[in-house]
Amino acid sequence: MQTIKNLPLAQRIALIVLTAALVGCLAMIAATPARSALTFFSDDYVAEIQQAHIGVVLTEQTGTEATPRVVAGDNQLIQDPALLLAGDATIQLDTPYAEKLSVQNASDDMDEYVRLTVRKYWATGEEPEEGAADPRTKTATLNPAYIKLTYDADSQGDWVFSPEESNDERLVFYYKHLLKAGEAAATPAVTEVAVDSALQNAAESYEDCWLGLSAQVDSVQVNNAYDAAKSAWGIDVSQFEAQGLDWSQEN
Amino acid sequence: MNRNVSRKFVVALCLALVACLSVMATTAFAYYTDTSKANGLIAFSWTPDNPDDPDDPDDPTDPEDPKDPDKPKTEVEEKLYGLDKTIAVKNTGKVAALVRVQLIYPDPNHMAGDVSINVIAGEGWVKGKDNWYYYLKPIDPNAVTPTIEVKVEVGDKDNMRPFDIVVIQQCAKVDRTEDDKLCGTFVTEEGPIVIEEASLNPTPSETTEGESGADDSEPAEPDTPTETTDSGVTANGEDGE
Repeated sequence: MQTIKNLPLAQRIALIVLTAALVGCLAMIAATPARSALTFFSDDYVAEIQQAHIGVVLTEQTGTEATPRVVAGDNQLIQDPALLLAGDATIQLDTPYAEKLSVQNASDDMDEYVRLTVRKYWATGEEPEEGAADPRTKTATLNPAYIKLTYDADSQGDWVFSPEESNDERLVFYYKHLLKAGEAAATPAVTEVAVDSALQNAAESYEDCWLGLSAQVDSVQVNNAYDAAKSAWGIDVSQFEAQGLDWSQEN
Repeated sequence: MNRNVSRKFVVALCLALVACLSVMATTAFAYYTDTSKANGLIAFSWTPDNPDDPDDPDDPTDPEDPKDPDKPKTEVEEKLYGLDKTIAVKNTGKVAALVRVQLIYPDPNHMAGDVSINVIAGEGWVKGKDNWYYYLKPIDPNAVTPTIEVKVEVGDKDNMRPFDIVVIQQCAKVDRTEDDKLCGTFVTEEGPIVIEEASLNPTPSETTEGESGADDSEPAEPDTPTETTDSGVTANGEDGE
């Protein structure tokens, strides 16, 4: 082509190098064998491949309930305030109320490793009517530090508490052991909820608000769990090995 | 034309190369994960059990306090006339109250646009040492004080920047000292202020500035009680143009 012949030397060389590289890549693509070529099959042999699912659910045991219940979705935690309050008309300050949050492996055949994130907050708004949308919203003006949850801060039990990921609004726990299929965690991560009486000296008004709890449980597969946790959550869980976390067991 | 064609060719070549390289990238891995969420709300309410006692650091002019019907309540009535405004205080409570008002605005010296702000206190208003204007008599419920006028004059409208004149008012229950002088506690930390004594002459430095400000540097505020009762007309004419 006339245009190529008119190019200066540097550009011509660049063009040749690029073209050569392109040809080389194309050759390599063609040369790599296809990974899923089925070359032969017999009618008599059929293979069924079943992909396993891992599943995890949250459980809650409020007040004097004997066994934990599975909960999922909006407004499903603390469904029955009377059960939580156990005799008090309203939440009293500095009084712990039993509220056990834990997890259960909901899959049939896959074991997993889990973590639990509990968020606490204040909300304002009117009580929703039956069937209407919930007008209550989280408020940023009230301080969630006054909501005290009882948990094992020293990670002595079955859960490791992660102080770096936790703050006044959020607590993060990692279950130390393998959670086998169908099993629930041995102990709950959070056992009680209370409201601190230091709230009396707060400048903002805590009249007619709502105490909110939100829990989220995440699970990862057993094989290469450390890599899975890093890939899915961005967390290097090997930092918790000193506190007893052991995610090295594999299938 | 030649150069354009060859450049397009080179660009197309580069893009084709990038596409090929990305196809050759290694496969990505995905791990099995699962998640589940739940949330819930429970009603909570806490109000202070005891009514505010006088030693409480809460603002004594709190209008929201239903526990103490004897708390005085006052409101500012502001009327704007262009750049000027008049300020009066109305007693919206059920008891007589003592009031004081403070005006906060930027120093005309530091304002662009040749601005002068004159405050003319109406009859019965006294400027105190602490920059508050005190009304000498208690106001009955539903009564309104005479006005304080704020006159703003701008010499150079093109260069003028927006500014605010903030009006703060506080009220206090009518109280008497042992020698039967009117006093009120506007802010608990300050303790009771005797109204007559609050209106003593300001320090000499203030007076000087007020009278010699021929270059809009100081607002023409009345310096002595005597001038105030004359509604400060003379003060207006002295300076501030």
